[in-house]
Amino acid sequence: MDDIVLGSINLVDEGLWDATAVFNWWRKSARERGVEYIENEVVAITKNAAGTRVESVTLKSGEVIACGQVLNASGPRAARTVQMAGIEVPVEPRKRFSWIFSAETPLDRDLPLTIDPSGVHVRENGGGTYQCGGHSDIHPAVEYDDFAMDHSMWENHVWPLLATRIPQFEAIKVQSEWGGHYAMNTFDHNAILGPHMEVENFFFLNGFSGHGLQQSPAMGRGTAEIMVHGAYKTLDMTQFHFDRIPAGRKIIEKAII
Amino acid sequence: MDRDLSYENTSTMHTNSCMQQQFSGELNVRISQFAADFVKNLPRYMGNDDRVPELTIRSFGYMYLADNEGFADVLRESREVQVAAGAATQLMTPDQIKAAPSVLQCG
Repeated sequence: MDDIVLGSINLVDEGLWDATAVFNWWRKSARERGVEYIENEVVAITKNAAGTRVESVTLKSGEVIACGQVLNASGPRAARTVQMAGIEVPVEPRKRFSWIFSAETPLDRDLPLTIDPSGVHVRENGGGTYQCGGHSDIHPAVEYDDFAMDHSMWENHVWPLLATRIPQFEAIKVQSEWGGHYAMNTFDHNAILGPHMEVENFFFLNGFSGHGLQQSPAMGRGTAEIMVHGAYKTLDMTQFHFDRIPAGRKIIEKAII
Repeated sequence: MDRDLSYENTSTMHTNSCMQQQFSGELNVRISQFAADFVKNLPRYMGNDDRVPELTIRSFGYMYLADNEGFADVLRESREVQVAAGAATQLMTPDQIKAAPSVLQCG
């Protein structure tokens, strides 16, 4: 580790949380309050003649649903969704790989989520196991349904790097591995929120570039505020609005793993 | 509307389940501070629902490592933003990382 010149760590409100519990309680509570979840897919978006409002969405099953407001929360598929409304948004599915491994000799304390300059990151997972993530040097947009694992990455790139940083990680065994997608905002790696400028009842909740779950409480609250009240009541999210993209106004955020 | 209510292939299901305060933009720091407050007070935010579990954050932190002065400067500047917003970010030199009770091998 002679190559490292500086580290940065924060031990307050930073680390692992039970995202599944939060996600499940949001869905349960929403259902109890009358939100209807429909398993189907939008295949067409119909605007009024002036192109200023979405009037309806057409589902794969053939049904047509009239729209008061439409929110695009379709994750890595965001661009494909808005294309149906004649809108472009710079969001692409980028592949990220994850591994959970056990160590023959676990560390005697919690391992911070340690981010190597290469982008490989590894963290405590409890019970002598660790979760690691990374991506290949070249990580172009992939097909929406491509979750294939690159098995060579672990052997050739990730494991050797882990063993160099943390000698106990020479003796480790992969328990599970998977490929997933980031909804990568290729314009400036930040969230894309708010209404469209011309299609006034169309809203964005896109492009979280790997920060979606941790940003979801604030982004969900803000999106509810702007859709219901037409203005933010707590954190002002205006700088994240979609209109910055056609205006060429980038938000710089450097902490993108 | 969801094309698959099992959420099998969603980014949500492939998550790392972690949150960080170490962003370079102030609003992103504030957004994560709300995430921390929300998670630590989940029953209250869910309408004082006593069925909702009390959750904690296992705050082992994110350790960013810089291998060049350019990125080290990014970490220094970002820490200023984070501390001004109330975060507890600490910078560590290689010697401090070596001396700290850390598992990282910097020697």
